[in-house]
Amino acid sequence: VNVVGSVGVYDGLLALALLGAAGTALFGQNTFGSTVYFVIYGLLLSFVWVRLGAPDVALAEAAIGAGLTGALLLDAIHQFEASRAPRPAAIPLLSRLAAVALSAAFFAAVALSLDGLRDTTGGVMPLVLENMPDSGSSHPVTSVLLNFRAFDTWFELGVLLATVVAASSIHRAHERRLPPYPAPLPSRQALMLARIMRPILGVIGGALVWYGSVAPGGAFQGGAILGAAGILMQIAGASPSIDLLDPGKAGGTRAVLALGFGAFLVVAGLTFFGGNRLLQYPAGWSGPLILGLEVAATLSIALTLNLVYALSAPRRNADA
Amino acid sequence: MTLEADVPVHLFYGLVGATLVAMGFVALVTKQHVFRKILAWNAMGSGVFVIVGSFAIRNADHGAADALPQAIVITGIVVSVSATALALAIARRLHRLTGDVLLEAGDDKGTA
Repeated sequence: VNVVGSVGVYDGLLALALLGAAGTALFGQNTFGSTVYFVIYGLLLSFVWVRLGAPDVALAEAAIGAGLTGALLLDAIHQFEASRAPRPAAIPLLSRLAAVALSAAFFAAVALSLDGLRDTTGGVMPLVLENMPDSGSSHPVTSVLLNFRAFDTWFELGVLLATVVAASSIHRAHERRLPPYPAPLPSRQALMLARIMRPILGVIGGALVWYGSVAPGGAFQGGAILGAAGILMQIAGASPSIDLLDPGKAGGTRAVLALGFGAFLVVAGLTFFGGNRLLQYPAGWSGPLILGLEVAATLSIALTLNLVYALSAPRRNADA
Repeated sequence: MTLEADVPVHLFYGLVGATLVAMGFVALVTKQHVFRKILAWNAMGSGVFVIVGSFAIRNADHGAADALPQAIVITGIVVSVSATALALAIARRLHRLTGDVLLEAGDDKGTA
């Protein structure tokens, strides 16, 4: 991808569509329409990432930013639709004006500092490329995510774990005492589509993880696709993933949820107490370690995203 | 097909990102529906990601975007979907407790 060059017609149209979709999503009247425009916005954003020479981010944005967030939002909107009609606005005019003024000031500050950043030293890319041969991956982004800055990825898995713990705590403390939302009527067509899609998504997700060490893709994108396969089954009315938290299944579920964070913890402990720096892989071990960590992370990410969706709209089948 | 405008690509998309943050902030303050606030928060987040992404190509003379900002943004996208899911879970709890989805100035629903 040639990322050097001037701004062309394509960039102008893309920016116009992107900002238009965002504006409609944020300021439109209809909440359902807003959600649809927000998903469109996410998809347009992945085109921006392609234009910025970042296909890894484009994949993550399409799968997670647009796809998964869209599924979460569209599902939530159903629950909110039944609520009372919005009352007349109570936000004082002064607050509105202050928000607009602050936003304008922020825009001006970014515009001024961005122009100042035009000529700098070469960034860290030369350093990344120099050290990549020993990193266990031949794709720069994967080298950064799973070797040079592996602690970022480790703590990110910690954030995912904290999210699913928090979401299930809310569920446990509160939702169990309330009648569950009605389960969607199982639709034969939707279920069949989900069953056809499941193996295809499995292959795509697996391929994204496997090729992630040499090409765009990796644990996050692959995990999101695998998680999406489970969400599709739930939307179609198959047995809800929330059942995975039932006593008897919860042990195994927790083990898989913690697998990614735990694998990093083990590697961090072994490297730290084995004489290396924290997460500094021993020579020759980088490749297998990265693959192992990616597989563990993928499984945790897939189950976490799936459960987080289930917990955002807990529902049980009527007979459960 | 280029207009040959004398604007570097990174500057252009940096400004697009800044516009998204600005729009998101205005919506966050002026919209009362909690669902709209979650959308606004997400738009602000993705605007920040685009600004960070624009840093990645300001040195792209060798033809490839810098890998470090890309990795940071991928991490950020996953964290923001987690935050969104949690926010929706809390919003749903608010809705079930109060039957309401609006957050208003001086609201004391929590103690009601």
